[in-house]
Amino acid sequence: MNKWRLKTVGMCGTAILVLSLLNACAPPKGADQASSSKSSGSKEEIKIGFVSQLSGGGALYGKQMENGAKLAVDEINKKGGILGKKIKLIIQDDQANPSESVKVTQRLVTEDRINAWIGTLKSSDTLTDIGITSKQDIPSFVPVAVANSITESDYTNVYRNVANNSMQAKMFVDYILKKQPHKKLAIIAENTDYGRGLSEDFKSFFEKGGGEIVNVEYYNVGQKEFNDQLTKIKGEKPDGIVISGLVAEGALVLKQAQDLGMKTQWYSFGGFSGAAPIKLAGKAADGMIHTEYFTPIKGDKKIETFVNAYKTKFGDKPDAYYSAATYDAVNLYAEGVKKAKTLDNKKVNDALHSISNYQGVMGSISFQEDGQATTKVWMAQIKDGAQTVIFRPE
Amino acid sequence: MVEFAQTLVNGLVLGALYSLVALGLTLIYGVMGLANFAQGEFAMIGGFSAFFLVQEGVSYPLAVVIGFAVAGIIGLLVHLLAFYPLRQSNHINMMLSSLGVSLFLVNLAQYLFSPNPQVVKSPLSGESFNLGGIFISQQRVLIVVISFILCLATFLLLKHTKFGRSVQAASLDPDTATLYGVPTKRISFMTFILGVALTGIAGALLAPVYNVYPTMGISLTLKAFVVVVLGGMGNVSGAIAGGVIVGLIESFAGGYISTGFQDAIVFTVLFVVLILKPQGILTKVQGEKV
Amino acid sequence: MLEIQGLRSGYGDITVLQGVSLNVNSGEIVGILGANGVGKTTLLKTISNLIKTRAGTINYQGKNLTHVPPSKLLNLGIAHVPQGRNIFSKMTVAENLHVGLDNVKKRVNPQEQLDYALALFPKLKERWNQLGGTLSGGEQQMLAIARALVTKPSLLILDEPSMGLAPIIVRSVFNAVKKIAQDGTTILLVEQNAVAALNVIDRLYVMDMGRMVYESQEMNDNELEKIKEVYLGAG
Repeated sequence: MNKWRLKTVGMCGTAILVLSLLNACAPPKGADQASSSKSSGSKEEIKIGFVSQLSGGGALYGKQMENGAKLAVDEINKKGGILGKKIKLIIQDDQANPSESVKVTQRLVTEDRINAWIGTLKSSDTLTDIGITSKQDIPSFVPVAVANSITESDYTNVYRNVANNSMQAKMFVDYILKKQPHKKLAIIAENTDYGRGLSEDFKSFFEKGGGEIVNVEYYNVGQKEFNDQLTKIKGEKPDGIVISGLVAEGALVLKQAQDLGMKTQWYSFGGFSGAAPIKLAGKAADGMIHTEYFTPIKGDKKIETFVNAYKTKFGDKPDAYYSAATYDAVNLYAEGVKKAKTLDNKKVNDALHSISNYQGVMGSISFQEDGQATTKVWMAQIKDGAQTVIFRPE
Repeated sequence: MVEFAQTLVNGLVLGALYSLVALGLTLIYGVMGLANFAQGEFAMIGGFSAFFLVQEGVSYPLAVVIGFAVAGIIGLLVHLLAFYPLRQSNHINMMLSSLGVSLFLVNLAQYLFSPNPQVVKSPLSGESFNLGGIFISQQRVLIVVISFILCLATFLLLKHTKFGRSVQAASLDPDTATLYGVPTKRISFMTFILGVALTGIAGALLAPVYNVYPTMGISLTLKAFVVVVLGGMGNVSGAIAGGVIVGLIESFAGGYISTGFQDAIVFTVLFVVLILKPQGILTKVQGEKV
Repeated sequence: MLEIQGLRSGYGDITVLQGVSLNVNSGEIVGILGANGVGKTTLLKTISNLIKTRAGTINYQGKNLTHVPPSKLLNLGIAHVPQGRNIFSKMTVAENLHVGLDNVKKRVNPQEQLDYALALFPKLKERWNQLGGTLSGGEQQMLAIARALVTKPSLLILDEPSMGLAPIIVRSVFNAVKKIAQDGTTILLVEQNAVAALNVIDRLYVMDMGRMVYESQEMNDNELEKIKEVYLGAG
């Protein structure tokens, strides 16, 4: 009796402990995470639903997206809104969890009756979410997720104002073949759809352009040890190595390669760019060339205005594209509504498709039939611990 | 040839690290019967305390020693709060509790230090030895040396001291051990603290090589479990040898088969061992118990 | 030396000991006989406090044992050799003996005790660095008894030392038991093997269904006949 009771108590206790911990680690963020607009209660509001990861591992990037969106909404509302209506931003945390993402998007559509949707940090979550918004033709903006498939699914209400993976890979290959002496490259790629997708695109474009890929090595997200991959690559003696992955692992690849005495030209994509490689890999990152969607450079009025406004409002400098792209997405929607002169989804979608050469902070944007913007990527290089733009498209 | 030698060196370094973490795990399993899924989180604790201390201006070697102590102290608290109250209940509950501890520690670290990787500077950072084309960073040499010293010290401690005999006796047969004066409760406390502190020092040592971040412990826990199962649960010399074996398998699988399937190959070896020799390849069946 | 009154204990909802009383005088070998499952091992475990006492008293040299934790018994001079030998199989013979010695070093001279135990069981000397698990059944039993002996007990509790051993080995184990008693150690012996036990014990109890059902006088032929009758009747 006693023993059995103890067992039950123990089990319940454990269950409660585990559940409470699970709960503690993922606090549900409600819709009350207010918009910055103060226009309370007005029926005449334009509601934009925003979904991204705001807690857990990728929260840092989700927060930058949120800030970009808030800044744009504030600026528009200060100027009196669009068509005389203020914008209300409804922010939802999807914890980078597909089922959570679908749940909050569903709620935005059916309960909040949003006029436009913006999200998310991850391509896979974005793909399922736009499946929901497309049923009601809600204009949906994808400023950050870059998997090709998002704009290859025949949705007529989805817009991406950033280059997708294969555009990025193509432009990177063209740049390397034209401007750099390296014809024999190796790839070290994250073993995910992101890393594999990019590395396959890069490989096929690079080989078509006359270059040679000597080998492709994979690693898992969260991996810490890269000596095996690097030892194999070292044996092939490539002219340069392309990292097709994200910051945490990319930084370790650079550091461990340095420890293995490898001196080579490093290349990487947008997932491993910005200030983080410099901070995490230090000297080992010097000389690396990477693609970039946005760099807070001086001398461009549009960018300077954005960077200063962002700094004033949030205190830090936007050093990657997450905030800039989301800022542009809100403004693109406003542009569409202005052109359509109504909030009717179909008319706004028509207007958005007709946008051409809109000047955002990330450059000139025109949407193609499939919703993909014809944007270009920049090339940047890390020199003496600082990021410098070495190629900027017209 | 150079590539082979480099792969061998890579594997041995990795093996030394795995041995140290698995040693703690196997000690705890032996004495408490606890499959501690929070083992890797103590490496994270060691790593972050080294990060914090180095940032505050403490020298790296001292930070490593303090990392050992911090992991031990947090181990004591964890034992008191999460495991001691469950000592009468079955092993599944203890294991579930350790999963809870793991989640809690990861989230606490995310709250305190943010989810982002942090760099820990060691005086050896960025320095390598070059032995005829085979490169090994000095920090890795340090990991191997300290891991070897700690494994040897633990082995001798278990073999030649009263504490060691008590640990062995308590893990082989707690009731009989009690009859011969072994204070099994106190031994289980001390073993847990020693076990997680060893992992804590591993974390402080690998911080300059791998950076530190809240989820860094999870993959270490998994690898340590592979090692411990291979070496035989609760078998100390098995854990030490098993660590080196897993390090080598991983390194050669990556070097000569495929880096994409590296972990898959390690786990395949584990499954094969579980099927053919579930008591672990390094455990001899000794005598029969009537 | 050891006096037990109305002892009750058990596992969970089951009460195994239904009020056991017994006493052991200094210098005696007292046997407890009984069939499998009548509560003999439970009795010994309750004396050692591996199982909690529910009612009754256990007095040892005038001291109440009911709340003394098992790990403190050695210091009172009580050594318990559990059933099934339970030697530490992955430790060497030497290490096994040292586990016994480790916690009584203040009280005894270790070398003297080791010499005494090894003189009694010279086989163990040959096996000194061998793992306990590699010994034969008889050697394991000798090791288990030796491990208790090195603690210089006043009262030695043996739980079925003959279990699973060949008759010839049983005889040599019991000879050693007799020798230990002659050297001044009091012995409480639990056995199923009545024939073997009857040769060494001074006095005995027969146990059934958690109770003592018979208590003998000093051993003589007359008593022996009676016991065989009772014991066979009970078993």
